[in-house]
Amino acid sequence: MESTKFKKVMVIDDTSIDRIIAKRVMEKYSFSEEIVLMESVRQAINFLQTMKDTPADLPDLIFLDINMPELSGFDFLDQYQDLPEVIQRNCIIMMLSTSLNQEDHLKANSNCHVSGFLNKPLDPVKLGLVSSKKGGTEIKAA
Amino acid sequence: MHKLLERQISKHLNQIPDNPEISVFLKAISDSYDHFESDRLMLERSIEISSEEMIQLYNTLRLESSKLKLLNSELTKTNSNLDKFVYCVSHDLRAPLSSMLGMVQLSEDETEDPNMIETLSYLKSSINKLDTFIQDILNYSRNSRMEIKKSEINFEEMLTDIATNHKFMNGANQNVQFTYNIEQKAPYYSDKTRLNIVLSNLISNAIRYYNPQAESPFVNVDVNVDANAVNIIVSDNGIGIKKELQDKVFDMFYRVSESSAGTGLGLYIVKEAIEKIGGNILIDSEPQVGTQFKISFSNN
Repeated sequence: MESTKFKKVMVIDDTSIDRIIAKRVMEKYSFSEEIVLMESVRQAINFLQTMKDTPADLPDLIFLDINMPELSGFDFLDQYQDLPEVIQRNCIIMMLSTSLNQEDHLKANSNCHVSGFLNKPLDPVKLGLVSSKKGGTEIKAA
Repeated sequence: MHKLLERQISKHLNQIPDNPEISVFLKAISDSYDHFESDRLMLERSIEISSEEMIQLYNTLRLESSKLKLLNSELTKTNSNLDKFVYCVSHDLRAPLSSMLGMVQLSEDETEDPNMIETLSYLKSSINKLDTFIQDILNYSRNSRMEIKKSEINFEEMLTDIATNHKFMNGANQNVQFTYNIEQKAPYYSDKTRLNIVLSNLISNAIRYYNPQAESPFVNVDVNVDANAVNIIVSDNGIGIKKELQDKVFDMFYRVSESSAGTGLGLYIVKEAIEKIGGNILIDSEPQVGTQFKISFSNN
């Protein structure tokens, strides 16, 4: 087993098949010790809020979809901004979307909490890019 | 006798001279006064009519212009709705495709069976083809309807962006080396979105049609900007295109061969986008040697 890069990765996506893909590809490449799947922005924010007193349990990476019903990925970023600072510390946020809208790209890249923009689906090459954002090395299949 | 003449005579001469020769003369003057008077009346009447017409015309024009304004704002609204619609449709079409691709890639990772691997690779190339097609339609629609928005072009940033996008493009070929060389002596203002569509398409073509037999497959972009002109050359050592087919590559839905992976829209959109921002493109290609696209714009 390779040494894992991330402790806890959160996936926020309303599409169940895309949550499964993200989970399975991360498991396959031992990308994270723990993976939590969130199907809505509301659920994710609630989850993060419950951890403000146990910061060690917070995710160190979030994959965030953009187009979601009710609250979008950008709504998540707005609410994330207002969370206690302890929650925001040490967490990388990567947008993971199929959007070709340049406005989405610009909006995401200009947000100080967003580290990058990836096109779905997640694959080993993209995981490698994310670990390099954390200062890691290339990942290999387990 | 004309009233005016009568008044003039009584003012200067007190009475009308009783002389037959003068009477004839005065009659002639009176007649010409009458003519003058009727001409004046006619002229006035015609001026009245034409100013009435002018007012009518003016009112009609005003009405038409306000109608046009309304129509224009409705069109702008329709256009922006259509744009949103195209974005939503393309997103909703692509989302399940990317899920399919994800599942296919996971399955590929989980099998050793060569038949299964072959099947999955066909599936993958079909998914990618459909995805490219949707993106092409989106680009086509963007190019044909979007207003031209000029801003200063940063070629370095644009090319790095395109390179990164290609690196992480689904099913991207990692064998082709991408390089660029920018010589910029003057600023250049143009439509960023369209220029991006052009360069992205040409670079992805070069990568898609690379020559597997070439020792080191490459695509290179040369950008040269001075105060008069912008010249961009996109060159590769890919499979190339036969001379006799080169005129056709910019035609809508033209594909060099049935087996070519493209949609036949890419280069058509490239040409349309270049023409929209006032430039032109030439192709020079030789089979098994490579292809060069030369793009030029004026810079003023």
